[in-house]
Amino acid sequence: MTNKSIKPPSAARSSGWISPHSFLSVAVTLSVFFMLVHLVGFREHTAFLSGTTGAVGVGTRLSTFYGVIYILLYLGCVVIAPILVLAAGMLAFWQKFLSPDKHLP
Amino acid sequence: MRCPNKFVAGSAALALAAVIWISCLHFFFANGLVAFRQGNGLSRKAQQLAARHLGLWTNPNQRQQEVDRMRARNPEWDLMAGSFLVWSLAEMGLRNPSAKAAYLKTMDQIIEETLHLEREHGIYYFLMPVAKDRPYVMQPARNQFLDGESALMLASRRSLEEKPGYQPLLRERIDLMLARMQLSPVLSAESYPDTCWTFDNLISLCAVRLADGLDGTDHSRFLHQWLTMAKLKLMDQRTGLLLTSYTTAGRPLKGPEGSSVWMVAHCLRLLDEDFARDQYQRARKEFGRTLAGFAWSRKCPGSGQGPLNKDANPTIPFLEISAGASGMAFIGASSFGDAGYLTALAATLDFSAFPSLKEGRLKYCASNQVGDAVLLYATVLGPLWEKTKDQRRASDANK
Repeated sequence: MTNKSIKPPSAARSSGWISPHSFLSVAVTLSVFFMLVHLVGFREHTAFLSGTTGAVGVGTRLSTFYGVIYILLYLGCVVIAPILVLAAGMLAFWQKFLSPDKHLP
Repeated sequence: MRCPNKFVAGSAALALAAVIWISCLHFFFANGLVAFRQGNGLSRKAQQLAARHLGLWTNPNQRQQEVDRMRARNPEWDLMAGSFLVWSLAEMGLRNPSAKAAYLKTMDQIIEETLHLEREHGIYYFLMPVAKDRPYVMQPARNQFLDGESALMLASRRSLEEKPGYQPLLRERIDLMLARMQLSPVLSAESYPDTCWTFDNLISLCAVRLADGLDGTDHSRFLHQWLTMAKLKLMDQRTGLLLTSYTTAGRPLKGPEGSSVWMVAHCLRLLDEDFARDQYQRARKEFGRTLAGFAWSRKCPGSGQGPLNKDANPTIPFLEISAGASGMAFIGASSFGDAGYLTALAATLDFSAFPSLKEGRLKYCASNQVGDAVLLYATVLGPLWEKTKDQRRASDANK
């Protein structure tokens, strides 16, 4: 039985996700999706925040849905992505200079 | 032990990064107070917001779309969008006299259209459907919301430049408002059946004060009576703030609300500076919130929950951020020179209201025409109140 096989499943999942590369991948993905919804004009639909619809010819529910998607991806790009980039840098620094694992082959 | 170490390190990195980024985020949206509001002249934002609004009044199709969007939610916003724009243009004309002719043209256009719509559709046109559910107490029915805002539009226009045709219109409207206000034991007229709003009655009183300066009339005794009455009968005991609405007999209907209290304090500045400042400071304590360089206004006071208004803008839960109340908070912060709060509000605006600048015309996508007009007013307000106070001081000195 190897060390790998005795990892608890949750820890295995966590260790796979917690890496500078993963953090950067999520940050880039969020940013790309945000750029896409921005380019297709979902920004106008954030008008639901003021109780109005964003565009003529789009129903209130659909407009609100587009607006919510835009806001979530905006927050992902402006708030979450930079945190992930910063965390990736810190984690990379830790792995390179501070982690006990850095001595492992 | 490799995984737990990595998990802890990853979590710690995320937490530390979150603290660093969230505490720095506002710097990326802080354009400086000068970009939003200037002591003299027009700020960059004021010019850009005004360009959009003036553009709407030269493009009937686009404006109709905006009106339809607002009226579908709340017909009051249709009137308020025009009123705040007229008041803003008066302030802009006093700040920038070289552009006065263009501003006057749009002001007249808005005033004429408002009066036309009132003649055409009656007092209910700018009210929510609930206005027809029961009869007005004061007969014949009138709407203080429409009377007050129209009167202040007329007075603001005449303050920027006299227009003889508007003098009798203003006189007539003020006489009607004052006669009805004096019928009530709380010196207030209804906007909705048996519902008087502090906001609307104070706007009416501001119009009276402006008209006194323009026409040489003197209603200072009535204004003093109203303020004395309000301090006795219209105060919320818990917060020390003026009620939002009450019946014609003076029974409280709604306690202080963020969508009203900031404009109320601003209007009071024209009538009683000390009372106004006290109201603003209380409003800041109860409704104003700041976090990590951002600021907003709550809908309900911090020391207790009030009833939610059905026509209100959506409120973002947890932080209790109200878009409508936060927009009005700009007026309070600008009027009382609260630079710190205003800077943080402006950062929040650029972060969360999704500005869209096209060909020098600025709008906020998360807002609407009335929201943007309120913001424009906050960028330029000041000179009209100062001019009126100067007229008042000169008049008192001559007595």
